[in-house]
Amino acid sequence: MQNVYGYVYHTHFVELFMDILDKNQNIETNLNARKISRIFFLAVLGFLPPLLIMAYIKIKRHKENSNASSLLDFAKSNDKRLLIALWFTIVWTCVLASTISAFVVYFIAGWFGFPFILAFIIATVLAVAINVLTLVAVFDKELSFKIGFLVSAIVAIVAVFAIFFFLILEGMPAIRDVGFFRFIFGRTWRHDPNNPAVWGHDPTYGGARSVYNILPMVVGTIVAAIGALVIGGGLGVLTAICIVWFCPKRLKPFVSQAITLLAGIPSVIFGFFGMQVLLPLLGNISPTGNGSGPLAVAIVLGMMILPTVVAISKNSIEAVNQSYYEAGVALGASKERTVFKAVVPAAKSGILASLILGIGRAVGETMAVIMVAGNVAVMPDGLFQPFRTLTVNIVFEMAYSEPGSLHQGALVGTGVVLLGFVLIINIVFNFIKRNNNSNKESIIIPTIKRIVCKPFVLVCSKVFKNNTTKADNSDIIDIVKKDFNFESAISTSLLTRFINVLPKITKIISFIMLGFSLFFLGSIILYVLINGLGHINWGLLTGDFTGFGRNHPVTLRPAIITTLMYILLTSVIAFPLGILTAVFLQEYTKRGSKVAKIIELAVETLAGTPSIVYGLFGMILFVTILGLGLSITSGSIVVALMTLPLTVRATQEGLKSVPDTYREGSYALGAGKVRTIFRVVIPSALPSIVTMIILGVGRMVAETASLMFTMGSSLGPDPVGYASSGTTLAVAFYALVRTPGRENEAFAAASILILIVLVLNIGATLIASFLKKKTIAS
Amino acid sequence: MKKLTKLFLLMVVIIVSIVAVLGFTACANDVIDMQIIAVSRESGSGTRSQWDSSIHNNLDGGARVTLASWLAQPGNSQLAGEMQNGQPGVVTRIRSQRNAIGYASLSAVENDSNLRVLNIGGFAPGATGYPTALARDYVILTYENVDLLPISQLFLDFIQSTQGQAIVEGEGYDFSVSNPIPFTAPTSRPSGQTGPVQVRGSTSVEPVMQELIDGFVAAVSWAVVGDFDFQAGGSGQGVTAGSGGTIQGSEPNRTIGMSSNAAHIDTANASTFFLAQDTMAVIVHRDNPLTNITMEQLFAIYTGAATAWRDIIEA
Amino acid sequence: MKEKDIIIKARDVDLYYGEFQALKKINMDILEHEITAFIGPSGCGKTTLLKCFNRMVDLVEGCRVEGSINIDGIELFDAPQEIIDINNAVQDKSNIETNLKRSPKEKKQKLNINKLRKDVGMVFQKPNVFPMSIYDNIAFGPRTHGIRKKAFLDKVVNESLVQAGLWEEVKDKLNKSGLQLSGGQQQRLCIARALAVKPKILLMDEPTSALDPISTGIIEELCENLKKQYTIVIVTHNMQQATRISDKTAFFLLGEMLEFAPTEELFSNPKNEKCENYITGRFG
Repeated sequence: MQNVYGYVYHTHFVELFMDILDKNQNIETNLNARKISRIFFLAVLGFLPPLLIMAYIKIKRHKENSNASSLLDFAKSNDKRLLIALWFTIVWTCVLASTISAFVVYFIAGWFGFPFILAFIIATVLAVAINVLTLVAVFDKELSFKIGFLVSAIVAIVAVFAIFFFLILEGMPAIRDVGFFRFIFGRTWRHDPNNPAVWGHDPTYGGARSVYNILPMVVGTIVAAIGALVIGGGLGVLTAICIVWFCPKRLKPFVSQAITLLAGIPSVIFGFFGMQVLLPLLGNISPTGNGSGPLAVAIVLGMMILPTVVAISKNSIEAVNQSYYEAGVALGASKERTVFKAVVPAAKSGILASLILGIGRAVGETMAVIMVAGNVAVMPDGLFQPFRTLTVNIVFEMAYSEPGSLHQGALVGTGVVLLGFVLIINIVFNFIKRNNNSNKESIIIPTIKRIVCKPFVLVCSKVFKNNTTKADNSDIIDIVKKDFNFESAISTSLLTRFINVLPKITKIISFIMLGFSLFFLGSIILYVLINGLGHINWGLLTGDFTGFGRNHPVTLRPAIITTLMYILLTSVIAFPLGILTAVFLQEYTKRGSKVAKIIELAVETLAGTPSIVYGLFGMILFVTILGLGLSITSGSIVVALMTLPLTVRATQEGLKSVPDTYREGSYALGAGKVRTIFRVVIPSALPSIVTMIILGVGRMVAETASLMFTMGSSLGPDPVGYASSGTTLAVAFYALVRTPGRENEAFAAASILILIVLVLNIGATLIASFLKKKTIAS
Repeated sequence: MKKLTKLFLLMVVIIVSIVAVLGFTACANDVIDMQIIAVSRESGSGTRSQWDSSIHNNLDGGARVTLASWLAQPGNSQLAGEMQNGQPGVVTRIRSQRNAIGYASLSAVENDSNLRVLNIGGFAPGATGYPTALARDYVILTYENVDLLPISQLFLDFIQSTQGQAIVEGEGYDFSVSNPIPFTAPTSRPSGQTGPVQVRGSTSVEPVMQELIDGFVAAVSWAVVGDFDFQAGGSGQGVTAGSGGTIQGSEPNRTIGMSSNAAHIDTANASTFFLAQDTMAVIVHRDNPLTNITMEQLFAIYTGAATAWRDIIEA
Repeated sequence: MKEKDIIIKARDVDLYYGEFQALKKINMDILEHEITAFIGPSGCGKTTLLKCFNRMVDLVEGCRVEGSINIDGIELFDAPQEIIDINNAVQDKSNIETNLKRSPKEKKQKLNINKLRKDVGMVFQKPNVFPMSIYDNIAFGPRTHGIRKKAFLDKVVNESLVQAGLWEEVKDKLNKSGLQLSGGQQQRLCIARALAVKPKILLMDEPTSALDPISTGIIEELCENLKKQYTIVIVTHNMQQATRISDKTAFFLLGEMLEFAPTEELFSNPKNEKCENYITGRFG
């Protein structure tokens, strides 16, 4: 380790230690930190008295087998000295906690790059919180924990509000200035950097060089979503049906795992694959010679939402009661007919959910779209015309927008509209879900059926004329009047034969779809691995960063270190928060209570928010306003918020699956709620929690778009601390692959990413099944 | 269906898809028979705005229309073709799309074997007849009225020194700083630098800046790459090289910005230092037989008037 | 009284789930237009045997059947089997009719599984109404077997619901979802659905075990009416139910059929000792 003092190779903390230990006066570090570090040591020592006292009181209470519910009651009931000692302990602990939390926050602030005022605010809030909780804990342990859970649950609400607040604060003025209807329904988006639109300009836009209207992008987003739905949704549902019902059993786990693998591949890899491979191919068949456009975007987005649709549809179809299948088969229907007509319709709501989740993801996708869409702000006009979506609009010009300008306001306004889109989709989804659940005859689907299918059937029956003898009405009336002969009523028309064969044909089609899905998956993975595996070497992974220029070898070590640091911080923020929130939702609220509904609504909104909106929010709030700058901290906080919904939901599912009998058994033994939660419920839900953690980490690794605007997009040396900018592996891939001469290293980085995703996925499956076996067996 | 039949069907689908893909690839045409794809930059880019003001229809007097003024006419809101994100985006796109044409900094593309740099009007970039409007000044920005921290200041001095300029010229740029002075680094690390030198800004200036940083680290014995925090491509945090040309940084006293559009820096906010002059080059894929293009043709391509390569190549 | 024909003949039927033998040397004749009840403790194989009659045991992996089951002249488990399914059968109408009338003596009949399941219907323990309208539920079977014309389908739906005793209750809401009905109504809907394909035999696997007493009573009454047209084999855990409705009763234990006799005889004067113990409640 080079003996260099200063900020470069040491973190603040190490410096401080060296200062304290060596009494080296040459260090120009933060004087306050040095002083506080000495206080820190004193504080640690200072914990001893209260610890001893608390231990003494607890032992005494245990010895006397006191029935007192809290330490305070016990002390009260005992002699006065004990009471005084207890109060002394409480006060002492509060002071200590405040000091330590203050120190920790200043220290962390230095480490993570928070500005002084922000750190001070956080320190104060933390100190107050700890003190309050300590006091409450003394009086009533259960309540203090409940407050703790509630607070973490509120974080989700606060986050949603913060995002909304900032977006609206920044975006609404611009929308109002342009004019609400003109903004959304105007057809021209043009930004001339030499003549940007200014606030309050002439609304008639006579001769205005810069105009900010987003209709082409709104239509573009809709087109992209529909395209993704048709390709990804259609492919996905049929693939799911095929996997569950028609696929050979031995192939099934392999195929499922393979398709889940697709889900973890970062979007930039999809995008690059689209640009390098798909676009030239499509260009060959395109009338304009340019492959960019809705078709390319639909294919790329379709591939990206395919795993989501397949996974959720698969779960729904598998969950359908086996007796539906048995009933259908027992009536003499073939397997295919039963599956398509009786089983799959029973999974309708789950399939619909998967499609809507897929649309949500498609609407929010940025990096993949930007590479294949052409990005011209015009109304999409055909399969091969360059167009732009709302997400691309934000990314394209965000980097060049001046804070406080109408231009940036308009970009944030685009984000607001995008968020509105997602909210509408969520509302529609909830509406449909409620309809389905109530068993009422839903109006939508039969109506669609009637409108679409009836003419088709009419046409078909005219085309395929029924050539049996029962052709005219009089015969029919006779049959109906007489004793009905079933066999003779069996129609043998061509149409009937076609309809009879239809399920078989659909089955073959579903196999073909499965083949396509595997083909897509295989082509991307092979493309990356073939180009990249051979270039992975020890030097690439661990070499020093020797220089920025092209003559210096590429090293992925900074990216790897950055990724690890980023995952660590993001996990520390997201997982505990998510688990605590889920515990609160599941254990402390009654079904349908207002608080639960609000929190769940907040979580769902967070879940649906596109990642670029998070990036925008992070850029405005953390990077610029709060002054954190491009740093690992900014990126981690943003992605932690993004991962929060996943952690909350997955943990909730895990907690739900713990049968109430476990809880009742624990209560019946006299254990309190907190003890039950931590000793019984959470350990039982551990398989789900561990799986959730692994999948969450996979998501973090794959995230790109928001990190580029909060953490950095250029490669550099090893990060010094959390305040450094940096690139994760996924972002590094994006940066490298666009630099001529570095494609090999880029593909190597991508290969590493795919291998990581593969390992994580397999790990998740193995651990889940292992833990499940353990809990069931025990 | 028997198991073997199912597997067989899957195999068939996969093989058919592969064959179809190969087939699509094989039926590629010569570039001359293909349509033109005009690749441009995002509209906030300094490179883009310079391109738009430089390319014109080569008529004289009042009839001369640049791309920028063409765009301002009602009914024309977008250029023909597509837009890519950042200079590397354009370069990557053209390297894989045979019938595409675009523009980028000369220094970034002149050694790329996958691309061909075109002459304009018969003149190569850098030659005297090449359109001067396509020459661009790269500048360094610092906050106005802010004292730079020692190492940041040293870096700034280095850039403008003879050693720094030698690096700039080595990168293929012209007309560097006039009267550079030799740079001598202090022998030991100065105190007072509270963080790395933050370098932020344009993707076009990125390559030369990277070499300058490497050069500084090589020239100064106590300097390491860890002294620099380098992010190009803009992120709101950094230099906005577009209009207004403001400079932001979390710590202004150690931030150095880089911009490719000197004309539009707001000098009230930032101090600028001339870095280098670069040329914008027009590039096509190496399979494209074209070697020379005229200003009128460029204007026609980017306004959508010319769509077939045959018209350009055989003209 | 007309002599009843034997409609199901089981001879030396052994059934294996992998290594485990679930049925041991079952021999029985079931007469048409009768209600035959299978009783016995859990896991004794009564449902398994029932599922052999319409080859639903095919759905279980690793299931192997030896011996012979003959339903109305058609061998179920004769090897080699040529299993055609419905699409080929539709081409030749005459084939269907001749299949029905073929005498038991003719060997190597082509077994059409879907046709078999049409002739041998099944009602399950829990009602499994499809998530479609009542009309579509019942029409599912006929549509599968090729009936397309609405007039025919209407008639079938009407007849089946009448026979199941549900017509009056649902005739105004045929287009509403079947899942809206109560448990008892859903089970009757399942019966109607099974009747819609005009089977000859109706297999019922504990059809009332999930229902309340009133619905149970309605369905038991139904069976009494249905046996005039169909043959019913019912598996039941409820011995009182067996005494109420069945003509013949078979007692199963651990895969063997220990006694098979007219119901009154079996319950008042059982010949097998274990059967007597079961009936008197000494084990169960």
